[in-house]
Amino acid sequence: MYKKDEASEENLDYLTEMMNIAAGNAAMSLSQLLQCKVDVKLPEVFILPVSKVSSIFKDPSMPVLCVKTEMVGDVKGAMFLVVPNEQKKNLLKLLKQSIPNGLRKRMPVDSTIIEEIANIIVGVFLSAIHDFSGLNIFHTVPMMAIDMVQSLLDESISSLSGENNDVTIIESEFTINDENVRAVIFLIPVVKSREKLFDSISSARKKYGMR
Amino acid sequence: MECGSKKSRDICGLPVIKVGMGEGVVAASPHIIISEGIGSCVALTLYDLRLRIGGLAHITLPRYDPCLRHCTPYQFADTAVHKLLDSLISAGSRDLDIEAKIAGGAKMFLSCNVDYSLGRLNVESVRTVLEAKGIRLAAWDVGGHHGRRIEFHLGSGRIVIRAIEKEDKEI
Repeated sequence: MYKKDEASEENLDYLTEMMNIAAGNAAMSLSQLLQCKVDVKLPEVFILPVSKVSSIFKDPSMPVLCVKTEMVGDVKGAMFLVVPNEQKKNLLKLLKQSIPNGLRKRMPVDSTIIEEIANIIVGVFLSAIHDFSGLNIFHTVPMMAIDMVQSLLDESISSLSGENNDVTIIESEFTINDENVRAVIFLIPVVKSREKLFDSISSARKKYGMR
Repeated sequence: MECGSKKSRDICGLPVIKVGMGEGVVAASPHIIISEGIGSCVALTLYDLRLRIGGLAHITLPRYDPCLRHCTPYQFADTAVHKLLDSLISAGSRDLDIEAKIAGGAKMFLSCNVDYSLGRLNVESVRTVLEAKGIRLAAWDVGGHHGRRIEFHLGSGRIVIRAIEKEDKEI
């Protein structure tokens, strides 16, 4: 059974590698959808105690654009895609370019466009975990909100408080048509699911003969 | 000061104490207690106008769960009310001089699951415990779908509530 103090650097390295593959796939999907050049930096993956999560944004009241989706299946919990709110306009401008001229009159509302993009990105990241660990993780329809970062995450964080649980944070930066878009993904599995995720990574490493 | 809260920069020359999730603090005038990024959580304040002392708890869950290991009394509505009240009474307050205010308890995402709202459960639990303790709930700003930032001024007992793209509100 996976235990916190055995949170091996190696397992974190494997998770980072999975997220690296996922970020590459997400960039490729976005590039095909938007018909433009999309680059991605090597994502940083780190694990923080729940009480310190909002510290990565420095200011708990910082306005962000956030898309939440629930994970169901072998791993249960919540997943958030967070983008600083000042990048919303820029992001929407880039996303709307992908909508063909003839369809622009019937353009969906901004939140729908962002939710759909988040749907693709979240799906790609979960697929990368599945491809390596064999875990089947599905996600629910994404929901978008713009508000203070901590207020958007606090319900999921609260449900974990007291369990000495940690949150996996994946920080990635996409460059779309030479414009930088910083996106942070919060993976908040419930306690038993987190153990299952890291147990599965360990099993997969043995199966593939990795050290 | 207790339970992880930390002193910060001054606002208009008045000393500020910041309180994070699941934390709580009791202090005296002229301090300002700030709690930020409140979504489904509830900020509960108890204030004694006679002594000009008060406390704030950033409550995250409706009731204490003995199965949880790493927790503080300020995390849960039921234990937070008791803890704040005990601290004020130890500092010389009388029950009848203490009044409560609450803010928060929002539902941040409009999901299909319309019946469940952790925010609503938090608010209901705080109200129930205050009623059982005979503490008057003087004002509240709860519910909705937006985050809140709370400034609790211990010189007057007033609470200034900030939200994104909304006018400041005072209770």
